[in-house]
Amino acid sequence: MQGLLFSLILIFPLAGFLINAYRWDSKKGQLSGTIASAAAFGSFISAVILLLPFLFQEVSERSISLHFFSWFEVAAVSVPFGFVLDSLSGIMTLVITGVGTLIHIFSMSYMSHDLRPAKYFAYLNFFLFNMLILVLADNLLLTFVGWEGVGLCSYLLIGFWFSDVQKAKAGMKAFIVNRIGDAGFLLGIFGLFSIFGSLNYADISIAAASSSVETWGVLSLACLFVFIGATGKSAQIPLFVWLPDAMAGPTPVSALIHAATMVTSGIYLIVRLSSVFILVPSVLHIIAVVGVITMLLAASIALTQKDIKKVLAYSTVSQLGYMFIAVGVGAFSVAMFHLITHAVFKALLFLGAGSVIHSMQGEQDMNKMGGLKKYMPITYLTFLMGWLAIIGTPFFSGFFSKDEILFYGFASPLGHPLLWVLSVVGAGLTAFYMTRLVSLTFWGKEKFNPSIKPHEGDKRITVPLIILAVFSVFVGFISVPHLISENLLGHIPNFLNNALSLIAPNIKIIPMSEAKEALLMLTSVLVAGLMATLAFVMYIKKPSWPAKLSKQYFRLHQLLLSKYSVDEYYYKIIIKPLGSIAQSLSDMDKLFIDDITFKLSNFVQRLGAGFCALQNGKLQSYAFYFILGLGVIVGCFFIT
Amino acid sequence: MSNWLMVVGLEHYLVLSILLFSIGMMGFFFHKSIIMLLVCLELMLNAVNLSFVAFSHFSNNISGQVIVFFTMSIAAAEVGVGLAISVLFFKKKKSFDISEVEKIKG
Repeated sequence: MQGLLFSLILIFPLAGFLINAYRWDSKKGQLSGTIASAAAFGSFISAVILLLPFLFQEVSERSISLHFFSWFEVAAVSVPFGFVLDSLSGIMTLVITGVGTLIHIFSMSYMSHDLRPAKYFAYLNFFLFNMLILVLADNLLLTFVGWEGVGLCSYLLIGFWFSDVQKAKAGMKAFIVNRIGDAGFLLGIFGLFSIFGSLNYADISIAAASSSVETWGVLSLACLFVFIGATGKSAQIPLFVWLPDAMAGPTPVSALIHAATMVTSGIYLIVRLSSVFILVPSVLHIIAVVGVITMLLAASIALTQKDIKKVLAYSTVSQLGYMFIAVGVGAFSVAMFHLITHAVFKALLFLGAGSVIHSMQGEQDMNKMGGLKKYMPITYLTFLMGWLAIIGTPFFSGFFSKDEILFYGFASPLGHPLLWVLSVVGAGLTAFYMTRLVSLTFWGKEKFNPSIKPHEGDKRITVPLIILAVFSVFVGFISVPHLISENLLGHIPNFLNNALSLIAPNIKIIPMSEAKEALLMLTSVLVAGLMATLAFVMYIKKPSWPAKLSKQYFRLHQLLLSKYSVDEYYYKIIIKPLGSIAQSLSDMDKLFIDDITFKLSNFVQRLGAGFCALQNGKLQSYAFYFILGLGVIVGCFFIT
Repeated sequence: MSNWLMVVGLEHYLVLSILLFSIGMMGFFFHKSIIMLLVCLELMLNAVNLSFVAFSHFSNNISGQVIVFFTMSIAAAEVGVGLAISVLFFKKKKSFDISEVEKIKG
């Protein structure tokens, strides 16, 4: 029974994909969408039924494994096609299928005017299937299958409107940048296998716990490579450049791939391997540093972006940076906590942005919006919930998870006060750009073209928004910091940390006085509040300020506007030299290798032509050759 | 010298055989008519027959003469087929020119 339900989690999206792929050219978007949404929802329900008993079980018993067949066995390597549903993969499955279902439903309305709905929904289901393989796999190699699968689907979905060259290119960019990370991940798999002699997660963590490993250098290298893989999928420095461009895809795709699922798979992977990563603090330091730099870089770029989706994209990059900070200081379950809350509120924000774009007839420039709250009350109110959650308003979900990260950044033995300071700065920037986004879009004067009549979407748009908004508010309560939970009657403290205590344990922190803890919390809230107010004043009360400021700090503004020219530098430093190497290799191929082969083939051809002339159909010349041959044989006879 | 003229030995037969074979060969190369080619073929076969008989006689071995009978029967069969082909060829092309043969390929 359990096995059947478990397989259903995977089979539903696969079946949805196959059905829609079979009706490839169908124009009936409503039917395709219903099939796809039902598949996602079926998967979600199966996961819920399987996971409910977990609540009443001991933490150590919360695991269901499923083995389909032995995938391959070569020498010492035996890889089963096996899956495992435990607290960690269970949470991921709930997030993926739950948020995924809502996004599927949203898509039905958003893509209602599209020409290829069946194809779109087929891709969407296939993405879900691969993502589930990624998180449910019980070994590294099967995870890699899902890892590549989601890469493929993101390419297909980002470039879904491929007739626009810019969008097709964004898809390719995502795919290629991810491949660089994938190469790192693959090397990491090889490294881990060479150390632990197994690809199975459970075996690896047991071996790591017994800690009989002596090759620390190799282990750090392997972990570093896995982290490079994670930077590719989770858009960290230096591989974050694909995510902002990926906004070219349909907005629900951004919500699904770039908020709730694929981009978090890097975090998931590291948390899954936390028992290994905790052995190499040096790598964790690198992760934390990369996380904090990415977070600040992306947040600062988001300050000046005009495109509503680009702001959210950079915000995602920066929030992922937070998760890496949490991982880097050894707070693995905190990273998962932020992953969950972020998945919910960022999906909400993306879908809200999608709702706005839909009603503005494809307009994405925030400077051409404004005053939308009057026309789209539901979108506005739900978006406000997301906004409050992401800027860390107390008692909203983002507040709890972000505050946990800040706290661990400060208090963890692997952390540092500077890390905390920079994270608070990042929180301030987040508050600023998100308030700017809300101000420019929903508040202030109406700046859009009068011919556009903004309107609220139908139920398929508003219902997912409302559900996500409710969760954005309350999902934080699954892991309330003990400082607050002590005063909340009847609340279980750190429910999530308990659930994950076996797979993703948090590093032991040095006990700290409550007053100090409260002070830290208060500081970050104050900074975020101040920055939000500043943004509100700048964009609503004194609309002339931004222009004045950008003139005064012209070069800084240009620097942010040009996104630090990262893409341009990549072009100069990597792409162009590679291009010229390729060009010279191609020249060598043309001038040297082709030349040799052509000469050789020409020679053979001429030789053949010569022999061809012998066969001329003239009886007498045949007789002549005959006699000639006889002469040669006789001649040879005489010579010997 | 006189002995060479007086007594007819193996060499004489072989020289005659070579001469006949060469005449036949040259004729085969340079004639145009198919009939003449068949005749030249016959001449070459007979030159060979002559050397077989000569060898047989001088080595007191009968098998050479047996082979001659084989050759003669095969030659008869060959001429039969050859003439039949020639007749058909003439019907088609109204000529016995061997250079026309290459045009009927394919």
